[in-house]
Amino acid sequence: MNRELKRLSVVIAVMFLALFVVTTYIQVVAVDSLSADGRNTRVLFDSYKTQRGSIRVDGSPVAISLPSGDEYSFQRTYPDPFVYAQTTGFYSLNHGVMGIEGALNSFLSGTDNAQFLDQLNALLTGKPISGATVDLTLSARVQQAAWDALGTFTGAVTVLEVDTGKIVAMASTPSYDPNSLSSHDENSVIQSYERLVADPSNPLTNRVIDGRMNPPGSTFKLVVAAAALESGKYTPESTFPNPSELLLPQTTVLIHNSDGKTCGPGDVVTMRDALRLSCNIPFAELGMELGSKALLTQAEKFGFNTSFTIPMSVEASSFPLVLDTPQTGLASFGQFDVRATPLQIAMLSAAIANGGVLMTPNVVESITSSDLKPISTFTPREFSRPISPSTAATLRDMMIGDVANGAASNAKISGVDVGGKTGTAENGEDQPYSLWFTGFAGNDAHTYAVTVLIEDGGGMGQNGYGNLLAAPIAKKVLEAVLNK
Amino acid sequence: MSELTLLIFKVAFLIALWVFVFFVVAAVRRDLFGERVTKLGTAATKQARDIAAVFVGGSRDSASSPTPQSPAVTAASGPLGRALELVIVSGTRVGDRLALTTEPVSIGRSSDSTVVIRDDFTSSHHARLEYRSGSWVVSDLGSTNGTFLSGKRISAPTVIQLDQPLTIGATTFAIRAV
Amino acid sequence: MAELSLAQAELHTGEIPKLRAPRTSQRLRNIELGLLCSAFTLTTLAIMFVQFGVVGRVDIHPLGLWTLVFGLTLVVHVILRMVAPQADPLFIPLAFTLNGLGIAEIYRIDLYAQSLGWDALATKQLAWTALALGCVAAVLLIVRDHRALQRYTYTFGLVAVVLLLLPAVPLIGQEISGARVWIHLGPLSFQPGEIAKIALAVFFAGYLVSHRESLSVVGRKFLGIRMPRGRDLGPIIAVWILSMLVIVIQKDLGTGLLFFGLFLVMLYVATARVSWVVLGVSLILLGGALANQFLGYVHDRFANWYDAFNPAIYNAEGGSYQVVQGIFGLAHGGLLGTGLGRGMPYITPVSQSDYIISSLGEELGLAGIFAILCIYVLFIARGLRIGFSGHDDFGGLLAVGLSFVVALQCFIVIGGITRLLPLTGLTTPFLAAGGSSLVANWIIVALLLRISDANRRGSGRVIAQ
Repeated sequence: MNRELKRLSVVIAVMFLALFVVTTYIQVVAVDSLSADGRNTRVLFDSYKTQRGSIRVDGSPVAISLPSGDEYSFQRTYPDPFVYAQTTGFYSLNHGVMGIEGALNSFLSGTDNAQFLDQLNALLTGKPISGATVDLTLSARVQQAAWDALGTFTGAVTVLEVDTGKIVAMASTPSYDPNSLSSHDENSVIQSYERLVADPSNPLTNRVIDGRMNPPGSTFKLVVAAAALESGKYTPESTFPNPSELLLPQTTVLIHNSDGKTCGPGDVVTMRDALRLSCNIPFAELGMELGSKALLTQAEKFGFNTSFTIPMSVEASSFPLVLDTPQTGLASFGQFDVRATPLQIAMLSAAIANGGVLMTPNVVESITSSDLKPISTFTPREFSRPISPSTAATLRDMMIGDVANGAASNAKISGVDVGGKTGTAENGEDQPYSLWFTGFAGNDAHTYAVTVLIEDGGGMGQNGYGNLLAAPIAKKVLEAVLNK
Repeated sequence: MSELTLLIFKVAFLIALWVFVFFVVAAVRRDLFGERVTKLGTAATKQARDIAAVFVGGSRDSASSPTPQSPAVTAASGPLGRALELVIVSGTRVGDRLALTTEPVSIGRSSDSTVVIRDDFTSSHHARLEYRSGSWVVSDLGSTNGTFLSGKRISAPTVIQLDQPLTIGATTFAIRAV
Repeated sequence: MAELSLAQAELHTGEIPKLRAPRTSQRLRNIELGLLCSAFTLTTLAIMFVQFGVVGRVDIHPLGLWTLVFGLTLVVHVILRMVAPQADPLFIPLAFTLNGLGIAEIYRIDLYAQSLGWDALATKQLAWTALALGCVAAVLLIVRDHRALQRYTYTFGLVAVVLLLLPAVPLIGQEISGARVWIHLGPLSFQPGEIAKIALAVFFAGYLVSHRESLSVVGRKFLGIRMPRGRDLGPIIAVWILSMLVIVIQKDLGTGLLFFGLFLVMLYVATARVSWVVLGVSLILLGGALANQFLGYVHDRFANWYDAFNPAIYNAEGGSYQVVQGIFGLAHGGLLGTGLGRGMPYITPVSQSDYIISSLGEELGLAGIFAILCIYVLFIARGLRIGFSGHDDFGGLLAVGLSFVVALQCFIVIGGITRLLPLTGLTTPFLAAGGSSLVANWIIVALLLRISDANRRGSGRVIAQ
């Protein structure tokens, strides 16, 4: 019997060992991920005990916790709710957190390990701990301009400082009032939340970094042109046959330029003119010659198929991993299964305007503890070097030409070299277009990349186009950036 | 009540909890880590002599030593008919006796054995003698060095005859009628 | 030791030397008393810290009640000195500690819910503890020799089956939160299954000790293992069917698993045949597959287990909300816990009974959970040790069975809460609020005390080299 008992003891020992391991896993290893779960109300209740840090733009709060006098002690308030809603996100009692409120929750609530000394101090003095203050890289003036310029459109605007990657504006419409979700009246929060979730225009979504992604349309031609120049086999003066319609190989699909005509008068057309006039056929020909692998490699260098954080997480824009020749033709002008966020498209212009060096976008300028000690400050970080400086210079010239006397003319600002590229992307038969503008302009100090996206055809169905609706918004935003 | 006081309470309680667990472990540490084997200076030589004694079938106490090969008498009639006892015929404590009733007798190093043998050759729960329908039966409890009846290692419960030498570690027993 | 040797030397010179007579000392009881006093200090601290943590001051009333329970435990201790002085000294202090920690945590949640008097589960738990200690005393005084139980082997078997089927009887049976495991008699409700597990252990031990030879005989080889003979399969099939009935009729997955696991382990220990284990595990898998296929509640349990964090399952009626909140609670505790009375264990449903481990884990942290698990391990090890001593097979097998019930129950419940296993409705021994479980587990303590005393009685004749 004793031999069997020894074995039984081993079995029981293993059973308890498993319990030791699994409790260690839950209580030590997985604590952070379990605390980050929005359904973990314990963390939320805990965080109401402390005065949450403010989120500030240009030194004034866009999210602030004020004494509430009720059982939760503090009320989260958003002074300029609609303009900043998608960036700040919200901080709710029973629907979790979003935006910066979510991404930097541990700092704002004072529970981050970096604030250990604060926590210790609070413990010893008995004074409640306060969370850290988060300063954003946004500029109030540019953000307001972007918001105003978008008006009633459904869309998004973002502006990047190209040499640092700082996000200067991040606006998304339609917006919502985060105050309606931070209320301590549970029922009204539930009502507001359910209304917002049910709203078909998805106001809770930050369109700059996630949500329903749009085909980038002609803005993607920048990637194709970059791939061509990088290959060393093409120059801006390389020519392509110039038919008015092109039958994609192995299919019955006919493609056209946007006006249904040839690209300029000649039998052949240069890459420079094709980009300036935003013609589809030459780019389809170029893309198919380069092949899908070259396009994929170039797109991924710009950030496609990668998700990263700013510190909110940015949905990965996608370029298909495998394409056949006709699909490559369609992808070459940003159709088929190519999808992009406005931030990704802004990163194209930013890399081009910054001499081929792409900086990692970020929206946080600094995090400061309640006793004014800096916890973290913004440091520019390189994302990648997708193109050589000479390719960048060539593309920069081509984009300036596009605004000066091409398809992006509505972004023209007198006395300033504005580069740009429009896009008018199809979403399927009878579906309204997605309208794009991406470009850049600079002053002595910095160059800024801007991207405008207007969804749902800007209310004009299939009649709107990038230069008509998106380019003027970009112009207003750039004027605000350059203080014109 | 300040946070600091509550923190001190929290840690104090966890310490108290673990102190209790260690108290419990300390109380039974002898059971947990095995009996200490008492070694006297001559232990090794003595053991060797005892083992030799078992193999030659003799014992130091020749007057009371049974011959292992002597005609066996089954301890069949039970304790009511004849009083039986367990005698040590070789080992340290030759001549020591234990009166047998119908209660089982366990032999091992652990202190909860009926007969506790503290030497390196005995397992903590080594063997058991049990009165089963008229006979005494010896079974090994999964010992390391085995239980020997007349010099042969037993693998299953075996009926033990009167005066048959039963060797456990360095000690040899026999059942005798009084 | 030197003194002992001297005494022995003197004995040696006597005419007829005898093995030194066993100590009739109360050494073990003195150890028990010491540990019991530390356990009382510890549990009293627990109740006080709960009061500091929740309301910030000491309330003498619950402490007084707990002192009364300690008094009753001392009475049991004195009874042991008289009727079972050689009983193992750990069982009572360990069980008492778990029981006290359970009451402290139950009381902590009562304070949050502002339950008072007889509405408070802690008050009920205190009363049940007193009753359970009464049962311990009664068992110790009535059962003077555990081997007497072997004579009633089949009576215990019958009692177990009747107890198991009682909740299915229309008038007295009652269904609570999906499982039909309760009987209602006036103001009292009771889970007879808890007592049934003890009766079953006695029955299995008695039955297996007398049938081990025939059950050990092997038949043909199958899959490289010698399988038991066909005609010996009766008992295992019968227990399997009984367990499946519990699972189907009473919708009680945990109890069914517990009974079958208990039988399987005792069968293996008695017969030393691995083939029984192989066969038994196959039957468990078969039963599990059938139950998952045909029983909605079992299927849900499985879904709540492997996909607990899926929002659809989390939000579903009877979904994984409870499991996930239990895990959040544990995570909230972290390494050192929030401190007694400082967490939010009440967010998790049934935090005083099924989820008591999660509640304690939140407030005592990993450090506390480890200590509690260690206490269980010590308890179970002491029970298995009785089997090792090999004094008598019936007692040994019974002790192994009873200890294994405690071990398996801990494993199933804590494993369920931590998502190691699918969740099943069993109680955490000694900790969870619930009278039947408490009484049953204390009766297990009484039986283990009795068997360990018989084991040591007449032991300790020392032969030192």
